[in-house]
Amino acid sequence: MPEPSPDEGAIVARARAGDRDAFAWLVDAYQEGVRRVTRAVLHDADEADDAAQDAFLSVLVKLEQYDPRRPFRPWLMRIAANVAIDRKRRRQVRQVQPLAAEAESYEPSPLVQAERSALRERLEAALRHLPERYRIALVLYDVEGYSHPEIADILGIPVGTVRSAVFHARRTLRPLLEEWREDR
Amino acid sequence: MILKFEVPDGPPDPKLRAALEAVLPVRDRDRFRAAVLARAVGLRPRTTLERWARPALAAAATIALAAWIVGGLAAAPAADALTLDGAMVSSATGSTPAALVIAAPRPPDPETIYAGMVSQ
Repeated sequence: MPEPSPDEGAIVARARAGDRDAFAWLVDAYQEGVRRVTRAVLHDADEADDAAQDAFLSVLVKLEQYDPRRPFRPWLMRIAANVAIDRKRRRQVRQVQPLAAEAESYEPSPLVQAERSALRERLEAALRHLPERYRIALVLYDVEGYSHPEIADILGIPVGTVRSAVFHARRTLRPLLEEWREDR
Repeated sequence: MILKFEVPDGPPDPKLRAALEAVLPVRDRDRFRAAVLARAVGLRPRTTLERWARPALAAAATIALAAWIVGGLAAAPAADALTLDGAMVSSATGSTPAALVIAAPRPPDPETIYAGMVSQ
């Protein structure tokens, strides 16, 4: 896991006491990881950001439940992952639009699309086709730097399952990543 | 070639990280922060008491409803019995006052008995 800020505990305590600046600091410090985890679940950037916002608001309301003896970031990530997964499930339940419209929502904006290489799109597609748990585990491990036991704690699954998820996700992306390396 | 990230316990791969960051970009940090803070206006950490208040109210409402239903069911047989007794006496004697006397939960009023005798 990335090293927490030395005064993270104090900042969380201040946020818990209702200090808005402290809460803003937490949003600033951890938004990247939270947004990436929700994006790994939901794909669509706007919806993922909505979920990430919901996660921070949920954290604010639940701060009294946070155990200050435990690290803050995994607790935050667990909430973010759960919020995103819940949102995805609700979307699937209430989904009335045809699949074509859903696929359309994954399309990036024209500007972003222009910026993206074909390889990036293929990597994105490959990532999208991975099981949800694999994607979250991969992002938490390779991007956010959490260990397997920490991810197991965040997702509430056995460590062996996390290892397997990261392994299979990496193996799926490996051929694309080799091309990526050549392209870079 | 065996790549480092193929090993399940291998350390995070910087190139894989770069690729994932490119695929899952995080943009507009300031806008995101502003959006969260705007939505957070009026919200605050919920105290333990507040957390329990809603479930407690729901539990109290459920108990009250259950008590009302059970109370209603308990009262219902008495009313039914009263009606049944009255119906039996009425059909046997053909007298409504007699049925009232028999089925009444309290001792009969002499005036009622008298009225019944007069009507017979």
